[in-house]
Amino acid sequence: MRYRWLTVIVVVALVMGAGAGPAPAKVGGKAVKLGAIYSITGKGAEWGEHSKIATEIAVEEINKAGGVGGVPLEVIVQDTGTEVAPAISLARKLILEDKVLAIMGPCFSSEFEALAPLLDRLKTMIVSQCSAKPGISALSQWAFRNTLTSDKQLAPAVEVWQKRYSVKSAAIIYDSADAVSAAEGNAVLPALLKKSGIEVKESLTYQTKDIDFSAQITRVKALNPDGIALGACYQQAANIVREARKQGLKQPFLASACVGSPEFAKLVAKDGEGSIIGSAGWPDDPKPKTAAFLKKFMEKSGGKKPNYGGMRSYDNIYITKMVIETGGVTNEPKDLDADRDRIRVGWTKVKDFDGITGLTTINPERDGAGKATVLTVKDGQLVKVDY
Amino acid sequence: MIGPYLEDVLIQLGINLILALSLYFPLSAGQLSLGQGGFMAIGAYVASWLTAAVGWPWPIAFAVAAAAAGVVGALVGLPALRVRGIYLVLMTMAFGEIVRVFFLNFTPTGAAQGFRGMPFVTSLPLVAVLALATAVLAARTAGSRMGRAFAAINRDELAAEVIGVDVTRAKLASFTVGAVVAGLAGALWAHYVQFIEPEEFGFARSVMPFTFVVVGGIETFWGAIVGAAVLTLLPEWLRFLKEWRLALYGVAMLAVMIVRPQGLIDHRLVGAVRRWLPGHAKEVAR
Amino acid sequence: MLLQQLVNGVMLGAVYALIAIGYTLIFGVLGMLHLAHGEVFMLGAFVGLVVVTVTSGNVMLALAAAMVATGLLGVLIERVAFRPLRGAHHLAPLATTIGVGIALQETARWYFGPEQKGFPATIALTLWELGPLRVSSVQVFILAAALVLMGAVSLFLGRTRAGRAVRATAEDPTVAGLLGVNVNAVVILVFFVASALAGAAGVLVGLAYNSVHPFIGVQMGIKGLVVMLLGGLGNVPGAMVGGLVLGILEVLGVAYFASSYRDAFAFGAVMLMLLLRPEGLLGLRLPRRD
Repeated sequence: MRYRWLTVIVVVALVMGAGAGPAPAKVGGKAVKLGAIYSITGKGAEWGEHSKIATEIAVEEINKAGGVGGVPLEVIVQDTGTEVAPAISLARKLILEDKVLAIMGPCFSSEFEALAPLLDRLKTMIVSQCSAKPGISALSQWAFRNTLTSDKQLAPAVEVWQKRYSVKSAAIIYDSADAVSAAEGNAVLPALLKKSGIEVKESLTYQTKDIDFSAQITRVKALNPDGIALGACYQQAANIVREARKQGLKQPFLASACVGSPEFAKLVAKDGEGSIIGSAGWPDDPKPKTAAFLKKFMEKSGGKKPNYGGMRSYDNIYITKMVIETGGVTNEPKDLDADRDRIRVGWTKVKDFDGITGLTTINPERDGAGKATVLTVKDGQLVKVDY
Repeated sequence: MIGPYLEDVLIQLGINLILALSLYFPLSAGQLSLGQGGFMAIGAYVASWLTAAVGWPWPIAFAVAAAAAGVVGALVGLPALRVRGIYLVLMTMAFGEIVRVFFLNFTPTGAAQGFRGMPFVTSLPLVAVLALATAVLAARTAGSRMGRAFAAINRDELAAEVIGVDVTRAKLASFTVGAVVAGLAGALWAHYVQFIEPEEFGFARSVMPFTFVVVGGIETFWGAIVGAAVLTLLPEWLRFLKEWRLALYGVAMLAVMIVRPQGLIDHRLVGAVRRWLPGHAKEVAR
Repeated sequence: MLLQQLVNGVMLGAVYALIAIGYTLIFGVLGMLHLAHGEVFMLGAFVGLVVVTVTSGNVMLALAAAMVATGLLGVLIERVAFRPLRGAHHLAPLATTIGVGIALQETARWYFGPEQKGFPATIALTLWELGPLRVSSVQVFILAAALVLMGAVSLFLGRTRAGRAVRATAEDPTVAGLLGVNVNAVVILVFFVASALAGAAGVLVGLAYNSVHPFIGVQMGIKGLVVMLLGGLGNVPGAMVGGLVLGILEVLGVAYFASSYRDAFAFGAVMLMLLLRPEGLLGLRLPRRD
C-alpha cells in the first residue's frame, strides 16, 4: 500500500514536471540592473526626456508582470546633457561602479561615436535608440543601434518631398559641429538629392550654439532654390525655419533624425507647415501594442506624443529582457563578465522582434533595419505621410 | 583598492592641479592669462594627433606636445610684454578664443566634430607623478633667483628693472613655462577622455585655473594646489545637491572672495604652517 | 544681397553695442570688468519672454519690465560682487563676477530649463520692400529701439547733471568725490543704466532671433568685451561704433566664408587692436588704467 502511494506521488511529480515545459533561464540576484545614459537636458533634451519616460513605462510594466526571469528590473537613468564627456564618464561609472549588465543609449551620434571605442576595454554593450550617423556601430563589437541611420530615414522622405513640391534645386543648411548633422549635410543629403535629380545649389553651415542665422538665410534667398534641406536638430531647425519665413522665403523644408520630435512642429507652427521629415517611428500606429504605449506615454508626458527615440527605448528594454531570459544570464556577481557577453551575443541574434516600432531586426553591422516613416508638419503636429 | 569612480575623480584632480599651476607661473610675475585653455588645447591636439594619427609612443608625443605649447607660449609672450593689466587679460582671452576657432576649422583633427582614437594613457600613478613634479617645479622656482625676479616684477615692474632684473627674460620665461605646463595638462586630459573637441577648450576652460588660483590664494603656489583641490572635490562632495551643484560652486567662489580676498592660502598662513613644522628653517614668513 | 547682409550686420551690431556700452560704462567708472554682464543680458531676455507670453505680445511692456528688472539686478550685483572688494586686489572682481555669472546661469537653467525657448509668434509681422531689401517690422523696431536707447545714453551723459557726475567720476573718482560728487551713488546709477541696457538688448535678441536659453550670455558677454576693446575702454560712442563694425564683419564673414569663422574675426581684430592701437578705434576718453 505504501509503495502504491509512493508510485502515485512519483507519477504525479513526473507529469507535473513534463507539463511545466522547458525550464526558464535561472536569473538570480535581487535585481537585474541596467544602465541608461540619455540626453535629458541640453540640445537633445526632448529625445532624452522621451527615452526616460518610455523607459519608466517599460520598467513599470515589466515589474508588474513579474520582472525579468522573475527578478525585478532596475534601470539607472543618467543625464548626459547631450555632451560627450559626461556620456563617457557616466558610462564608465555605470559599468565600473554600478556594475550594470548593459547600457541603453546614448542617443546622440557624437556621444555614441566617442564612447564606442572605449567599449572594447570596458566589455559592456551599449544600444542607442536614436543615433543616426551611418557607419559608427562598426567602431566596436559592443556597440549597437536599434534605429535607422539618416540615409535610411531620408531616402523615402527625399522622394516624397521632391514629388510633392516639384523640387528641382535645393540649398542645404547644416550644423557642422554635430556628428549626424554634418554627415547629413556633407554626404547623405547631397547623394540622395542627386539621385532624385535635384541640383544642390549650395551647402551652408552653422554651429550648434549659433542663434543668428540671418547671414545664411540671406544667402539662400539670393540663390532662390525650390527647397531647403536641413541637417540639424529640432531647436536650431525651428529657428532656421522661422528666420527664413521672416525674410520672406516660402520654400518647403526637408529634414530628418533629430528634427523629428514633436517640439519642432510646435515651435515652427504655421511657419513650418508642410515640412517633410524622415523618421524612424510612427507614434500613431493603430497597432494595439503601439496604441497602448501611446496612451500611457501621453499620460506621463502631459499630452505629448513620443519621438522615435522614446518609442525605440521602450522596445530596447523589452528586447534586452528577452535576451536576458533566453540567453542564460544568471545575474550572479561572479558571472558579471560572462553575462555581459551573453547579452551582447543575444542582441546580435535579434530578428523580427515584434516591437512598437514594427518588426525589429539587428543587421550584421549592428544597426537596426526596417521601414522608415515619413512625417509632415500639420497644425503644429507631426503627422504621417503615406508613401 | 580605490574604487574606479574615486580613481576618476583623483585623476581629474591631478589634471586640474597641473592646470592651476600652469597659471601660477605667469601670475607670479604679474601676468594674468585667461587663455590657458588655448595652450591646453594645443597640448591636447598635438599629443592626440601624434598618438592616434601618426602612431608615436605617448611619452614622446606628450613631450612634443608640451614643447609645442611652449613655443606658442613664447610667441604670445612676446607681444604680451607690451601690454599690462586688463589689456593683457583681454589679449590672452582673445588668444584662447583664436586657438579654439582654429581647431574648430582644422579638419585633420576633426574640426567641429572633435577628434578621437587616442589610447588611454592617463592612469592615476602617471597623473600623480606629473602633478607632484609640477608642484616641485613651482616650489623650486619660488625659491630660486628667477622666482624672486618674478616676485619683484609682480610687486613693481619699474622698480625691478631699476634694480637690474631682466624683466623681458623673466616675463617671457614665466609665460612660456606656464604654456608648457598647460600643454601637458592638455595631453593628459586628451588621453583620459579619449575624445576632444574645440568647444571644451573655450573661455570656460581658461577660467578654471583662474578660479582655482584666486580662491586658493594668489600669493603662493600652494594656493593653486589648494584651490584646485577644493574646487574639484567640492562639487563631488556636494553632488547630493545634484542640479544645484554648479550654482553653489559659483556662490562659494563669491563668498570666499568677499570674506578673504587674498584667497585661502596666503603668505602669513604658509609662514605660520612653516613655524609649526618640526625642524623648520630659520625663514621668517615672507 | 550685400545690402541685405549689411542690414543683418547692423542689427546684430546694434545688440552688441548695447551690451558693450554697459561694459564700458562700468569699466570707465570702476576700472573693472563685469564678467556677469552677459548673464544680466540673458536674464533680461527671459524677463522679456515671460512678459510677452503673459501679455500676448506687448513688446513695449516687455522692454520696460526687462530694463527695470535687470537694472535692479545690476545694482544688486554691484553691492554683492564689487562693493566689498573696493580695496582688495584689482583682480578679485573678475572672480566674484564669474561666480555670480555661473550662479545666474544655473538659476536660469533650473527655473526655465536648459532648452531654448522661443518668443511666441504673436507679434504681428509685416514685410516691407525697399528696392532689393526686405525688412520686417520686427527688424525696424529692434533697430529703432537700439538707436533710441543709445541716443538716450548719449544725451544723459552729455546733457544732464547726473551724466556729468558719471563722467567726472570716470575721469577721477577721488577728485570727483572731493568736488562733492556722491561717488557711491554714481556707481549705483551706472550699474543700473548699464544693466538696463543689457536687459533691453536681451529682449531685442529674443525678438530678433526667436530663442533664449540660459547660456546665451556667455558668447554675447565675450563679444561685448571685444566691442568694448575695439571702441576704446570707457568710450561710449566707441562702443556703439565698435558694435556696428563687429556685427557687420561677423555677418559678412559667415556669408562669404564659413560659419565656423564667425568668431575668428572678433578675436583676430582684438589681437590686432591690442598690438597696434590699444586705445581702440576712437581712442580712449579716459586715462589708461592698469
